[in-house]
Amino acid sequence: MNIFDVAGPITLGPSSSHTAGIIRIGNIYRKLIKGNIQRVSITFYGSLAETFFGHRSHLAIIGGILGFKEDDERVKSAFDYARQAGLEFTFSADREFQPPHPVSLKIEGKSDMEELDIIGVSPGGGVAEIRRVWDFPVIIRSGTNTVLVLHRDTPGLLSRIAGRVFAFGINIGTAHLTRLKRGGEAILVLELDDPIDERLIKVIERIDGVMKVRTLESV
Amino acid sequence: MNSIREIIREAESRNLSFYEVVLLKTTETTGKSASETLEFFRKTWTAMKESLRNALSPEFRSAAVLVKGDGRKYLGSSKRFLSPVVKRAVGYAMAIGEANASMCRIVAFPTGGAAGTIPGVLISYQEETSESDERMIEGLIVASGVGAVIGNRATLSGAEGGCQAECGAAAAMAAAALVYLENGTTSMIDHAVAIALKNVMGLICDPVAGLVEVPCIKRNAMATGLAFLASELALSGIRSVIPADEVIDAMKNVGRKLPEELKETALGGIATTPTGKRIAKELSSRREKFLKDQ
Repeated sequence: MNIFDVAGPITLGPSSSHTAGIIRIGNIYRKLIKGNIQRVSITFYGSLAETFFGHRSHLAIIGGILGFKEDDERVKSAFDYARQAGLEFTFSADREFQPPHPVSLKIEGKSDMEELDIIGVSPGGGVAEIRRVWDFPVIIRSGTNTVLVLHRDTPGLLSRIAGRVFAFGINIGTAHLTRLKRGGEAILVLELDDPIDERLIKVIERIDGVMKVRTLESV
Repeated sequence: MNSIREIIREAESRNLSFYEVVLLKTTETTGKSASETLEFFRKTWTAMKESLRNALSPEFRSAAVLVKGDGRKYLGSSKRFLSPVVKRAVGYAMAIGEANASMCRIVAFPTGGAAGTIPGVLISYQEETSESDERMIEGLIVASGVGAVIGNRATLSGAEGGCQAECGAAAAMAAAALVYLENGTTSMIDHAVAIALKNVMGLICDPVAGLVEVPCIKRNAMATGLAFLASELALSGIRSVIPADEVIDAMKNVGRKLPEELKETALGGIATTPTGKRIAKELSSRREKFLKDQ
């Protein structure tokens, strides 16, 4: 721990795990879905199902989905901004589901282009993690340059994607490849050491077998 | 940044101030230059002042559930026991605590729950002494150096160490800054930190209904008063028999031994008094109504 970890972050109160981290989960959702978000339904899990109301995590998640950052006071009026933006939202609590962490939630939603469901976790200190996307178990951390590639499980695909990243002179910090069944859909999560080049994304999208590419940049 | 004693030894052997050693060590460990560090803390200082201005402005709308307007009420009350600089600091700390509970923008320094103490102490001090912003930023860096040592040797999280690790740490950090700003010796910083932390040893985190309001806002008031007390004792030459590093280690051990019920879970302390339980029950029925009305 250094002095920068101690001093801050500059954020909305009252609790970094129940506000800042939750706002970041919303921001990540906004980055992962294509098009204009029309409807979201939020499910609170674990201890968050009890504590969300007092800490106003319901405002935090809608504010984050609207693209407001963790120090943006518009989050306090997130419901009004959502109505203005034509974003419909509902909330529920699921106390049966065993979440990956006590402070977890699910976002199910759709835009004018696609549907997307994710599970997000706020482990503390304003950090956010995505633990499920496109029905795949993943770990995507806020503050990293991450590329997600949904593709068909075919031989050689990983090597082709890695080759393109290398051609742009970018180092891959971590890589996780998961598939649900042989020859079916698979997901590749790459954490890159450098900011993501838009042209690189275009190149990866053109690889045969790649279905969707999404990026997160230090959200 | 693992030892207060080590910072002091380095300061004495190289004839540097506590502030200069923290700045040098930061460059060594993070690669951030002195000017980058100063720029970061200038932003932090500005955000602290903005959070107080917002908390005291006529436009401020409290969204706190349980505690409303205490900071302002105290600031407007007639003079009794505390000197003007301490009284103002206490009022500021409570006002920022309430702003934090109201979802306003604050600096979590070191945490959201303890966010009132350091700006309360330092902004009031600057108003009293007309100290320059540059020098106040040096004070903030001293406070952060102490906070980093506490975080590295023990913890700054209420869930891990109880309130001693949040409001207690904030009091120790603010006390260190005050000793530095008053031109105390580096050893006096050690004594001020030790005195502050010894006086909150074992303080539990017992938020009513899990909200960051009761007792948190008034704990910020306490930590603010404690910062002035600990720094003034140290500046008068009073020594702590137990050095700061050892007090921090003791705080860590005590924090570990505290049961989970007394560490932010709202399952003990004042959270489970009859009144505390009634408030928690009311809040959960409001929550269930909110969910049902979807």
